Amino acid sequence: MNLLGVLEGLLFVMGDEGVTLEDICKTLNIDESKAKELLIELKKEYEKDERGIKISFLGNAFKLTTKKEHKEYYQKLIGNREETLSQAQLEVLAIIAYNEPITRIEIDEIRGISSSYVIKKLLSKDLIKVVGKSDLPGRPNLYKTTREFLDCFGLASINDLPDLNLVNKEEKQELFRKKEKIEEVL
Amino acid sequence: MNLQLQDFEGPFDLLLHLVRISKMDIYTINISEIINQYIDFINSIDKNDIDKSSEYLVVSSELIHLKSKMLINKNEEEEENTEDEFSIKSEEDLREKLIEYEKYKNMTEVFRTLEENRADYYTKMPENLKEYVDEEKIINSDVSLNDLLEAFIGMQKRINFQKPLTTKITRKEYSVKEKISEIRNILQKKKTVEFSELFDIFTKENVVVTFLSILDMSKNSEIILKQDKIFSTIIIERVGK
Repeated sequence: MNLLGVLEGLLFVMGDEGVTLEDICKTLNIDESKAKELLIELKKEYEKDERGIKISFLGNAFKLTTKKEHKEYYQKLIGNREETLSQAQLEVLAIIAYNEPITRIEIDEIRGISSSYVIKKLLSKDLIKVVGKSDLPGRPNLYKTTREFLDCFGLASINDLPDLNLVNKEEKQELFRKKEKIEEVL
Repeated sequence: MNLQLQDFEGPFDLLLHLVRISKMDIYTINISEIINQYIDFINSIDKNDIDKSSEYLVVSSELIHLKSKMLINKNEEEEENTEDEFSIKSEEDLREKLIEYEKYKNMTEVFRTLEENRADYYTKMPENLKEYVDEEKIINSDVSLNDLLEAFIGMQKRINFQKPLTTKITRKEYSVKEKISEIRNILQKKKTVEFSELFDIFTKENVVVTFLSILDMSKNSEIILKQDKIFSTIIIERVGK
């Protein structure tokens, strides 16, 4: 059987949940270098202009996504129904992402305002999760970001977050000019 | 100032805004001036509005506290160590808190751009692969009917343990009449008794009834209440033979 075809199907089936390198090795019963070889071959195939999908590396997994240069066509079809996060939600997410795992009280301390409602919202959006209890009095919940969070911001792993202390305008722009993560992984 | 509370994400956001419009560097800024502006702003807005976010008031009171400390130059004093999440301990503490908050606030811009970029391409939900999953086997060990029965009996036993042992709840009634004759009996044996000695059972009813009895007997000149000095023990003495 042609493994390249199986890999393509595998990526299609798993959708936004994605497939890790280990998943590929295990399912296709091949070693890592062979898996990478297949991924590179498939990726090249998708790079052709006549193809509408590509492989992205998001939240530590390979996923099939559309190409961003085709965005306008999809929007014509489905309209603009992106639901963006509020300023408060972004603030809380940033605080959790840089300090995880963290308790609600610690988040409140940094923001100077109660964050319980925002945390509930983020939990319902699967962007954060409870990962246990702190040893602080009252044993409050500890929160952490999820794989969905990484995907939502196009990140491959939590280490890809820009340095909290080194953010000026140029550095920010540099950040987005960065090569796609998939090039580094393969 | 044409600002509303809705324009801010919280008291620190408001403070940062005040620092910015004052065109001063956060490291060198006159904290006392910023506190004044913050308090002026809080006073200027609709009171109904502020009810919705009490945190602004909490921080407001913390700032007034801080300012009063700064005025009387008592920064060194070790304050009661409050662990409250919104407490502001010193000028330096406030500065650090604002700098820390600003870092995350700035980072939200980056997050916003990342989020927008990610919206440029789409993925899809995973396929439903249920039909390929083998029927789950629920019972795979050899559980007999007897085992189930035993488990059930065991459970019933446990439920019984949770019930309280047989108890009877009764209410003891006290009457002033009874209590008075009780006190008379005591005073028959000895001429005087300490006030506190009469309160043998510390239930609310007993204390009240005993106290009423003493007042009643005193009113009828049956007993005399004596006290050497203020707050010392009260002695109850029988009148007559």
